[in-house]
Amino acid sequence: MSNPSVPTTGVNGAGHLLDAQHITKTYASADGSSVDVLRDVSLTVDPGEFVAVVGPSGSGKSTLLYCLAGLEPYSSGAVLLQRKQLDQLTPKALATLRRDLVGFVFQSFNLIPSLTARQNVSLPARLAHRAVSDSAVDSVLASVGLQGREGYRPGQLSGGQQQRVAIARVLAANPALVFADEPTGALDTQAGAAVLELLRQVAQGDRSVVMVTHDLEAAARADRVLVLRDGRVHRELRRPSASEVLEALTAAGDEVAS
Amino acid sequence: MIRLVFRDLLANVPIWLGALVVTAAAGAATSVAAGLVTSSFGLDLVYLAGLTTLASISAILTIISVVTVLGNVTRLTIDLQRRSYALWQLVGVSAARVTWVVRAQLAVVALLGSTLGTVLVSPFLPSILRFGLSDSSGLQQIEPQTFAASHLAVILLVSLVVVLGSVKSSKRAGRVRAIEVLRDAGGDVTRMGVVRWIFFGLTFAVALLMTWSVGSNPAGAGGQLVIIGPLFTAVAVCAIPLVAPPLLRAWTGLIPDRRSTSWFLARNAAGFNVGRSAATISALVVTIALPASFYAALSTNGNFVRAATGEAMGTIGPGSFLLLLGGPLLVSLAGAAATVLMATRTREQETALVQAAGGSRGLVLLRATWEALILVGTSALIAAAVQITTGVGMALSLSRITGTIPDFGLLPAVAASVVCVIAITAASALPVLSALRRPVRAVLAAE
Repeated sequence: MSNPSVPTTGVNGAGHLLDAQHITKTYASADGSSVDVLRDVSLTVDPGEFVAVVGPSGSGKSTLLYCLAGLEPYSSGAVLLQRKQLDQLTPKALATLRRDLVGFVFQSFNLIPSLTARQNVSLPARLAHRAVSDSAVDSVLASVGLQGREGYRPGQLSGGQQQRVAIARVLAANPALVFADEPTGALDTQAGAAVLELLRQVAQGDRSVVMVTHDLEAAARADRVLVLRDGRVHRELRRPSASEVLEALTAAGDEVAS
Repeated sequence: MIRLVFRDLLANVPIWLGALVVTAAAGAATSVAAGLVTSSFGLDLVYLAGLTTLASISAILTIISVVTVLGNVTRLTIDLQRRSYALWQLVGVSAARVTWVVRAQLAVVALLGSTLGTVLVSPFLPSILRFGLSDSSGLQQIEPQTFAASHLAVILLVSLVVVLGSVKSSKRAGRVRAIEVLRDAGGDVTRMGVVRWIFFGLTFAVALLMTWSVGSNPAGAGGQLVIIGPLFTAVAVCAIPLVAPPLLRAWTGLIPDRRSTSWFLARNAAGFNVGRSAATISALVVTIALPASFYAALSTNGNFVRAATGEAMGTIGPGSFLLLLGGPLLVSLAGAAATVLMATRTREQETALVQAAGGSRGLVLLRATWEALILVGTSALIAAAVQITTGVGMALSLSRITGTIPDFGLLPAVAASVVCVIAITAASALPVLSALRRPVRAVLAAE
């Protein structure tokens, strides 16, 4: 594994926000044999980048996302988030790192059902013991088009509205890196497009987004698209069109099948 | 259909385990009451009368506890599986068949649980009964008798209570709409239905009549003494859907949540879920209010006897306490802990969400502890109302003869509350500890 103090350098000379080197992830299967889900994956994410990860089902996309976010331990290699190596942090330090640097948007919205939209949005700030005013939270909710829904609980909101609350939560916490796992997977076309536009806006300045998706149009909005196949980075595309993503995915699928 | 009954039981083991534990406790408790009845067979009339009184009081208290707790547990068991029932309907299982599958599952679990409880307690039954009768004047010589037929009767009785108590809930299982697969319906909230209002009115009226009647006898309370507290407890249990939600929100609102995120999360979760926590709160109210109101009535009557005659009245010994209240308390405590354990799945998701947002393990555990304390605290407040009503009611009634100071059974209430705190905190924290070991991804990633 790499030394946690080694600086990583981005394309613009600044440090990479995220630097993953040679990560592998192995699961023990039910019959006792081991299954390699990720094999020697290396990638970097720079500040302001929007990176999409695509690949056939079972290619290891979601596992990669959760390993990069420190929500799932990797088997070997190193992930450095703002130069801190995740596998060398204590659980408490890892929780603090997630709280301060990372935001999540999940496919199934994953809002806390007992909290209102306003309370869900202000939760990361509460966890970090940061003061956040109701008016600041309300203005973030208004920025995602949820003015007047501040006091609603998740069960009273539509899927698209819930996902926008999840994005407002990320915006309010202002993390350096946002991980999105199939954020449009449970939404209709219109709601999905609105969510993608919001994520695109998140990825600017010092803030980056890493998104796993099956949606070609969604992937085509990213600065960079990584095509995963059989646990490895098969191809990397820069600002591709949806048809180029489809072509790369088809090729990856064909090679898996052959 | 038989395959569906058993496969689904195995797939939802944590939920059904709760029902199994409670029916086992009910089987054990009912066995003790049945043991008292069978021990009276063939006795002389004098002994028979004494033992029959004891047996009938024990049986009444056990039945109140078993019916209250089992009814709520079976309802919760069904509510927690609404999504499965919706899925069954999607694959073509008819609504009527869903209802019958649920009834069959409940019958299987009830038979297994009550058999387990009866079998486990049977070797100790003679010793329990002997100890129970040891401080009952004139009944010490009675040799306990148990019969295989009485064990069988207990198993069938408990199973019957489970199946009959779930008739309405199992019908509702069949009425679950397939759309609930897509939405987290979260189960039904317990409300004050017509039947509940009728029970509330009836038990309240009987409790008031009983309380008033103690002041009609110059010698003070007689046999009704031991039934007044349990009756007011039953009144409180009937009123839980009406009382618990505003009470919980009001008292937890007095404690500011700005300083502690764990308290903030626990308070909101408890307030949000209170309508679905009726099973837990009912069982906790029974566990605290039953012994406390029992002692409140007993001690208030003791105050009356002292005021009227200057003599102290004998108190109830540990053996009699075990016989009268041991079984009901076992059932209610098992019910409270089991219902908390059964709701593990929703807690797992919240635990993972808080972790993903940067919450530490300590915070997640503290949140579970606060939630347990909120449930016990709310139940203790409802129980306090039962104790005050029992003590003041008895004192007012007895004051018609001689001025009587009420007693509120504070010590038993504190003791029972402490036991509840330990049991419910453990039941809340254990699933959270287990959830903390599961990868967050496994809980939060889309199915």
